[in-house]
Amino acid sequence: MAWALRFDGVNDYATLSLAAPQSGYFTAEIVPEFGSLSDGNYKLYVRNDNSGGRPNWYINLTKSSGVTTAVSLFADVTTVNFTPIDVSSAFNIDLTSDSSTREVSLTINGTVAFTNTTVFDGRLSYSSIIAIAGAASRSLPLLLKTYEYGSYTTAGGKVQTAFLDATASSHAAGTPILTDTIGGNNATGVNMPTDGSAWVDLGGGGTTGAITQTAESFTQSASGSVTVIGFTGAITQTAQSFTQSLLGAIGYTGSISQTVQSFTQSAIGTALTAISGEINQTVQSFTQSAIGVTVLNLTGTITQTSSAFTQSAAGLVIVPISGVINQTVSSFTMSAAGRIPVQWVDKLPASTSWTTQTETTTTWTDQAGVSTIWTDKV
Amino acid sequence: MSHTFLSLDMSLIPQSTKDNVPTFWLGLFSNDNSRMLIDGRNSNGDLVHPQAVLSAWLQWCENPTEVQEVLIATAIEYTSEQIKAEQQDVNSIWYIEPEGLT
Repeated sequence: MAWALRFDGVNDYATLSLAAPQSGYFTAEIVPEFGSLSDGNYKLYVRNDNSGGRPNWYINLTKSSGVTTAVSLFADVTTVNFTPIDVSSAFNIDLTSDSSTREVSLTINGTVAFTNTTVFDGRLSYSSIIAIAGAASRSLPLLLKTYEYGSYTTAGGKVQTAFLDATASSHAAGTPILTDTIGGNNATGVNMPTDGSAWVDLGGGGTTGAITQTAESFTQSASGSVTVIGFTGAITQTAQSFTQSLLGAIGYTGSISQTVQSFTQSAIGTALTAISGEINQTVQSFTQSAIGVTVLNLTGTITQTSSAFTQSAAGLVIVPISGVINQTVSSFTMSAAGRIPVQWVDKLPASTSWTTQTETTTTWTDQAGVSTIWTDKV
Repeated sequence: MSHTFLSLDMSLIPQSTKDNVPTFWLGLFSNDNSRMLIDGRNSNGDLVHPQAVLSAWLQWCENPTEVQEVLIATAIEYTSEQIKAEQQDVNSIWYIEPEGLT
């Protein structure tokens, strides 16, 4: 289930508890709400304040005949025009800046608008306010799904400072708070409805059906801080490789079936709870590994009918496995390094020793002077 | 669905509210500071701020119920489109001068 926070385009904005850095990157996932708006020009803002001061930057948008395109970026005192990019539906932006070279790059929906362009009179400073709407003319009404910013390492890797996630936030009545799943630097909605209607359920997610892949590769990845919950369907893979990795917590109650080739399920630094379904592997190798992880309440059945099966757990270990593990062919290995839920006590060895005894001799001799008279009895 | 907006008469808002509500001055005010714009009603006609929030804003008043009734009764209600039009009307107290280059 995906959620978003609505900015009404009139007076809404959000304040960050931690100002974003002056160089680095900024990304956002946005669903514009152009529906009732007339054709014309609109703006997507991010700025330092909401009192009429000069905005940090904004993207100029043009709506014409139902199609909306991003056409330019304004920052500080300079505008950079670029080839229009369609943003009529959900879109994401990725803006990066370098404080020393003043070079800025902008990507919208995966399309590079411009890159490494030195255009700014001053550094592109990010914001202590997400004034994506607010006291500005022709602000864009929109739904904000995620808002992320951070810095770059010298090697070019991204280091997240904040990841504001509408889905991970509380959607109850009250002042809307966008939850930062990275550092706890939440953002507070200002001038927004407090009856809970600022939060919009976008649907999707919460997969309850089946995911079926019958050929070639299938990849589902989730990076960042992700919580996968309430997955009750089945995942079936009938060809080639299948890899499922989870960083975060999970409540998985469905079944995982792999009938061909390799199957890998890994969880790093994660608690896997309530796997109550079945894991079936009928061909070739099966590997389930958990590092530094507690796997709880595995109550289903693990069935392996051919080839190798390996289950390993380093660190905390699986408790309690109340289901059945069946292995009918070839090798089966289950290892657990660390503590296990059952104590084993070694007993001293019991032995029986046999030794040769000294020979014993009995000698019978006639006794002298002793006569024995035998008489007949009547 | 978008909600409406209520333009409140600043002179009717208690000074205690202006002084004590931490986020009060983060709101949107008209250029002449005579009105404050808050979110109004949803498609059912209900206020998008629960009574508990309104009561919290007026908690320092001796007669919060009456103050609230007067504020709502004298408010000017705008749709989203109407207030946006006001913000682009140079003669409106809600006019916002376009920023930067377009």
